[in-house]
Amino acid sequence: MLEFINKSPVTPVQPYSAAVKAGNHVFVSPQNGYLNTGTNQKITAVEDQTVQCVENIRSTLQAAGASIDDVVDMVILQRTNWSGLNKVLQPAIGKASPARTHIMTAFGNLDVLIMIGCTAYIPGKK
Amino acid sequence: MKKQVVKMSGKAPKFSGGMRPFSAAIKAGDFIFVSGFHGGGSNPETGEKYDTIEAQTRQCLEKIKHALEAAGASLDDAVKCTVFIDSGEHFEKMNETYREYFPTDPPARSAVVTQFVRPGMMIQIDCIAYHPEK
Repeated sequence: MLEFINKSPVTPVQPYSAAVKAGNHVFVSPQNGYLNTGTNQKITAVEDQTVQCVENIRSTLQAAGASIDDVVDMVILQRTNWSGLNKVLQPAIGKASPARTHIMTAFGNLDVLIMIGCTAYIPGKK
Repeated sequence: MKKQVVKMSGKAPKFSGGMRPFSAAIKAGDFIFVSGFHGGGSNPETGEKYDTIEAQTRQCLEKIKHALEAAGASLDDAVKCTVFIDSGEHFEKMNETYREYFPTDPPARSAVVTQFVRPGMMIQIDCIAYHPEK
């Protein structure tokens, strides 16, 4: 059975879900981080956008009954080559050490500097 | 069963530790998620640079093969690959090499042209495999 996760603070307005839960796996759409979901203020620094991306993933996973620790695969899309990614990402994701795909690309929204998507695995339940 | 980091050995790429918050591959239930491996660099024995799309494609798929074997699976178990390539002009040559690794029943695939964070990289491939224990 599929469960469509759209109750987190990052519910997309476009025709896709923030996440879909399929059995033990949760597929999280790539999240941007250019808006602070609490204050609705724009975030301009790529470091801060990265942290916000992870926060959006965290709240989406929470809505699906999972946590950052359950992340098994991560895709990082970034607009510019920015070498400090791992230093910011490490404390944000803690002990999760997922498989990773990391590429540079362009985005339709010019405010967006980075997007992060992931797949999580919730052990034990079917 | 909790997710497990796939232990890599020998010449396999080692990603754990240091400032790299990711793993080469993760086993999650019956699925194995393999990181996007790039094909750049050079042969550690001969020093020969991997500077053609064929050589780099081969490197990506050899690394994926190694990661899947370390997880007790094989390329035959691959269900989905994503290919990131630097130019559409490399597409056909990539496919020729790619086909050698998946001669029958190839996995589902997405392929996009993109840029990479490191110079010299022409291709990156990631993979999801399905390998039920029973």
